[in-house]
Amino acid sequence: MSEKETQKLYSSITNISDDIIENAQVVSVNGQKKKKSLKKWGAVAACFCILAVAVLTCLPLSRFVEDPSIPPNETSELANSEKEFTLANKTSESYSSLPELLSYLSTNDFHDTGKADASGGSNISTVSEKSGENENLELIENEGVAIHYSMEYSYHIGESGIQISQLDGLNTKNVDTLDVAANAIFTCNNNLFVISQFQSGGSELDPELSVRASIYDITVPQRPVLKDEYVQLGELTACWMVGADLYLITSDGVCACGWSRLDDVSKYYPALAHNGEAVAWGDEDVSILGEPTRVQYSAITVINGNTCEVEEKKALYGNILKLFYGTDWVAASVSGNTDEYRENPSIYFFDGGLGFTGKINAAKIIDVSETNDLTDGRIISGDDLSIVSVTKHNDLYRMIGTYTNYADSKLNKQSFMAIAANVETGKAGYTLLDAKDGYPYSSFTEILWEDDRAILCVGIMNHAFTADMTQESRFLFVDFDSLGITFHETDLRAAYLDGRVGVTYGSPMGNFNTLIPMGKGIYLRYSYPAEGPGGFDLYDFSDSAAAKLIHHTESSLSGADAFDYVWYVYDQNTIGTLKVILGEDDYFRNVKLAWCKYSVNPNSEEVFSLISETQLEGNIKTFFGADAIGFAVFDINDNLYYIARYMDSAVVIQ
Amino acid sequence: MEDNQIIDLYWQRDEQAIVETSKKHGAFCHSIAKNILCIDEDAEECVNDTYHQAWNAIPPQRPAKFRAWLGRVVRNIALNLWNKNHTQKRYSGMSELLSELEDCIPSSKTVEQEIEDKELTEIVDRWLHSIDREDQVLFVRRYWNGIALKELAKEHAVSPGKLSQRMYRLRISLKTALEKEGVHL
Repeated sequence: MSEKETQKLYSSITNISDDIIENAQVVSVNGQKKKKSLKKWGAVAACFCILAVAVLTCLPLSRFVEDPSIPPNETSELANSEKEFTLANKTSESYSSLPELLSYLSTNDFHDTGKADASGGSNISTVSEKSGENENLELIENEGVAIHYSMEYSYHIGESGIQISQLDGLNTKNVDTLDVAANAIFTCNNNLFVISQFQSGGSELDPELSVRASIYDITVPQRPVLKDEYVQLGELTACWMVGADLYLITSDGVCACGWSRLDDVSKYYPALAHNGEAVAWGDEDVSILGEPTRVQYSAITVINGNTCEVEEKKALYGNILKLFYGTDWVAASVSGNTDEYRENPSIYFFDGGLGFTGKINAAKIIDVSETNDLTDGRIISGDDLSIVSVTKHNDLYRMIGTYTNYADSKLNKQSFMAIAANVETGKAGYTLLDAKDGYPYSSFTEILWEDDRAILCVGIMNHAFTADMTQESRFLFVDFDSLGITFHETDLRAAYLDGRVGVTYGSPMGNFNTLIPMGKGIYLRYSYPAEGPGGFDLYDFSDSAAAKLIHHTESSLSGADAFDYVWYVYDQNTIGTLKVILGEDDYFRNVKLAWCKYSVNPNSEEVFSLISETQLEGNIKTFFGADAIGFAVFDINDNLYYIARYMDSAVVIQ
Repeated sequence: MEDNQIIDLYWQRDEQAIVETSKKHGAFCHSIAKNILCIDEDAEECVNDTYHQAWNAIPPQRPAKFRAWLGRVVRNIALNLWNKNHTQKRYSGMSELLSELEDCIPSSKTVEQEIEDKELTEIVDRWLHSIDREDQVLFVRRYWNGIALKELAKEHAVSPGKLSQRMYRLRISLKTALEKEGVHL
């Protein structure tokens, strides 16, 4: 294509009709007028804000005078309002098919080889929501262990394959090993699903990954027989089971620039094979989320656990940051970005059958700019939103996140954000809570969703990135009442927990559960009386507005050793937890494990009393946390079993 | 001052015509030239040349839509300067616009005849009249005024990503229109 041709076209545009040119300039004038009128409304709003600030400033003081039991900083909400938003009946305003998107991206792909992840898959994180928003269904996630429906056999991912244990209390034993690698396993009636990631092509440096879902007939539980196999291209992003449905998500992304990596448009669709036969993906299986700036997708396949047939499949194309899921929904947080800008996230919701149900744009709800400019491809300015957790309760989606303002390339202000939205009626409510002065560098370390509230553990760095940096945690409560949302901030300080014993996670969200519901509003949380987590704090959270600490462990319950965040609630007054016997080696070598059972008696002088301590089988050469050794506990027929990857068989805890 | 009053000043050979033109349309002309050339000094030179050309052309001309007329003049002057200097890689604004417009160039398979400039303008004009008003405005402000995508996105309260893709669809739509007319550039 010659420059002469484009210049000729450009020149011809010079002489288009006067009326068209004038029209275009008039719109600009209107735009300015609109801005002026917005300013006018802005001025009115500012007056209200000043009034509101004045009222809010006075209100806590007067309440404090009247009721000294309410701390003055209990609530400092910035805003709490209801909004109507435009309903979305399609996932993208710009594209109705993948070829259309590819046609655009073939010349406009932003793959930014230096900074962005062109492979697409590896940077998608997932967050599941396990609270019972649908009482009829249970969401089962991979814990490396699955139980046969007869309750007489367990399967767990071992070091040399899938180990099969015959569960018989103290006589429990290994009965066979299925020689297959696995990342996740599930059972459904007489079928065992083994999910495994493998390198299907490419090179060692740039591998192409695929995920195999092998289905074994376990009519004879101790002798699984391979009967079906699916292979899906991409990196394993998540898998879970709801009822009889196995959800398998793989993610992949390729550069579309000049069709450089693939020579055929059809290859940009996900690839799925069933027993070696390709399963076709068409445009009806594709949802393009917003206006992607690169080819990146997450392919969701739902396989029926009884028939082993694919029930649904959907490929979500977009700049996906996070996937959230629950018993009957999947949501994707999407944020378009290039070197020059980053969009605030939009959340796209799908039902259990992967039908699109609606979307929300967080910026529109909070009333901030939908896009922020980036300097040097990374320094953000403006109002930056993030959604870190999503759940669904009845018809409402509830979301928790942060609202951070950056000015002059620096963090200016941070607020916590909660949103409730009904994507079928287009109504939403939101509330912001200012992070207090002095500790703006806050992050969520854990979010526990309950029926009508969320308990947030917020990790706080008092002075970020300086020598005198100290860290602590606080609790925030978010009460939901339909679209009404109330934040309750407490002064309860707790240990800053950002990792398991021996392992520090940068962002542990979704990885560990340190807050333990004991029932009737009573909660335990691991604490750090010594070098490692070795105690519990006992809280009464029955009233979010009056949350209180009942007992703080002053000295370590575990002696010189440490707890790991594996627990089992026997009843409201009995808790079991994993203890890591550190020995003399600081580097977590030759570690032994013990199971400690404590009674919890808030009214007694000794709140936590050791009932029993059982040393567990094995000597772990190098310990990187219970997750790393695939540790799990499960209760079958009143026997509590534990299992770990290094073991051949489940063992009952006496 | 109204445009017809300014034109009257030109007809009266009153140099105040230039002052009033500059006051009312100076920024507009500057923005068009700057969007093509990206360099303030060069844009200013184009604007001054535009006033000069207006002084020479009015009378005998009496433009019905003065702003559009001025815009067209400044655009042509800026294009000429761009042509003169772009081999030195002096300007990026115009290069960006041209690179985007490559999407509109019909495929050579549809060649029937090489089209005259005037005829091409008429086809673009007809296409502009056929599309919806917002798209029309977007296209003109991007490819006639040369306003940067980011600015345009702010004007229309959409994200640059969304707008970029909408502009792409518009360019493809123009390409289709040109191909339907059997245009060869």
